[in-house]
Amino acid sequence: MKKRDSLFPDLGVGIGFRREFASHFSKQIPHPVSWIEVVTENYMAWENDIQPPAIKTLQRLRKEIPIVLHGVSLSIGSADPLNPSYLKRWKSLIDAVEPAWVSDHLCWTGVNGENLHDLMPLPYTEEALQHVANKIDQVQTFLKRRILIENVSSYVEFNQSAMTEWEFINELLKRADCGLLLDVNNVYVSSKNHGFNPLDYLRAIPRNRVGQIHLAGHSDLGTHLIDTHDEPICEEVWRLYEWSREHFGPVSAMVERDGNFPRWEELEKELLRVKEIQTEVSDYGYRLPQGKAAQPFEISAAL
Amino acid sequence: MVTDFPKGKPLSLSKFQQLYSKLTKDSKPDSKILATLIAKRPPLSSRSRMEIYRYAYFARILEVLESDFPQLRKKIGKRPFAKLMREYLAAYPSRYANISEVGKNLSVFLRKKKKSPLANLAALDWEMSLSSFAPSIEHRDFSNLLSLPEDQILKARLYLDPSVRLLKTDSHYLIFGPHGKAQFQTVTPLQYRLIQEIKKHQPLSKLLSLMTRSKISEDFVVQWFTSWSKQGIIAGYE
Ligand SMILES: [Fe+2]
Repeated sequence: MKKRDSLFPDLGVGIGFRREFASHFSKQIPHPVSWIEVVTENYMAWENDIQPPAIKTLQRLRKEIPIVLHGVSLSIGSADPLNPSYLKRWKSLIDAVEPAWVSDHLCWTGVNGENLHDLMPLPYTEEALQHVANKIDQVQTFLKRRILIENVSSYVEFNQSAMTEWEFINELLKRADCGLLLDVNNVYVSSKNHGFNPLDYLRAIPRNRVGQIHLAGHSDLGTHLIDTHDEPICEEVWRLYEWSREHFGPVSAMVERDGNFPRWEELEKELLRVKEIQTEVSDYGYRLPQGKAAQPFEISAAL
Repeated sequence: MVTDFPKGKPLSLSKFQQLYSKLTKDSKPDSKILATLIAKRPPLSSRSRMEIYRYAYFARILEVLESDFPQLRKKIGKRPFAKLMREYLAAYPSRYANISEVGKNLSVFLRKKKKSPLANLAALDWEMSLSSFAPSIEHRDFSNLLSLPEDQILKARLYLDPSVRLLKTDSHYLIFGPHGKAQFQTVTPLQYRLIQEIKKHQPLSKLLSLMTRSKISEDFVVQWFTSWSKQGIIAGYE
């Protein structure tokens, strides 16, 4: 029997909280949402600015539901050292919100102090691996908590990479002793853009390190996929999530939507589907016989 | 596994990222750098793959700047605005965690370029954008203020809605947006000074002495304060 010994609690079904649908949270938390994720930088104090951050809504929601903070500007993969001002402001926000956990991306957003505001992939080299592991260790020491790092989608591969992305991540999780925010859509998007089997990727991830799962939609441009978060989650990603739920066990999972916002009912359908998948699979990682995808399947064949 | 790195020593992470940043920002990406960094993976060429990042980088920032500087964009037009923003980013690359902070130095940049009217417009746009960003607070009725004993009135301190901002460029501007929708109005130097003092949390006695010194008629003052309270600029007193 597979036993789940995750380092992170399962909070159930979540959503990336955005102001476009904030009104649905004003009276009560809509079913089946049991936790939310917010973008760290949207609530963090600005640099050298006394302007107070707009965190009142967040503090109100925090009284009713667990919140996780998801950053976009830590730039853990940058050759630059960590930015002390960023760390300080991040820590103040953490103290104010008391999130269930915090996360950022396995990427770099700029170098020499610049922020290009994009999640850029790393060359998968030993130098980058050790550098990122050291920086994560510094962050965790500073925050006195384990953080989660999310795999990003990518459109380029680099000549100097010496290992695959999943080899890099697997080793990083061990060296840095951190968790993984597994974005299933990002794995799928990159698998299509670079021609690998997404299951090779997922199988390589240590089960107990996955603390959270992201699900999102992307745009299909024919020759490649772009991670736009402005479309419904596609069937292939749903199947990869079902596989992941079975393989990784109970992990908090959420829907990300950042553009082309549909009516709340459409998002609700996706959230209910997450809930259904979470409930269909037992806590020990076995799919219950009456589950709709109970028959064995190999996702790679379907993709 | 990617194995086709050209012979020779791999680039350090720092050097790699500097070159990659250059590819992202330059108006024409250097073919040699492109070939050195990006692996060839048909069906997309290395250039097309890099183009995805180049486009996303500028489009994302431009979208924010367009939304933060609507009057400036309208004044000079979409394309010249985009061109100007490229120049701005080259002179003032973002060093901020929040993408909404990118426009912080635009008016300074334009002033240095000796484009004063545009700099003034950018400054106004920026203040309006900050105004919309402010948190909303509950406003308190302060119609009973004048019924208090005189010494208490003099000690009272008015407070403003957090969205209220002041700007002095070619004119004196009062910017506010109690419901996240910022607007501006030009004000007289005295009105500007009064709001400034309220912002500094000065007691009413200080405001009254300012008004006495300026010899302004009492009727005007009552009219201003009534209007500021009606518009939600003054949020209460303590
Ligand atoms: Fe994600």
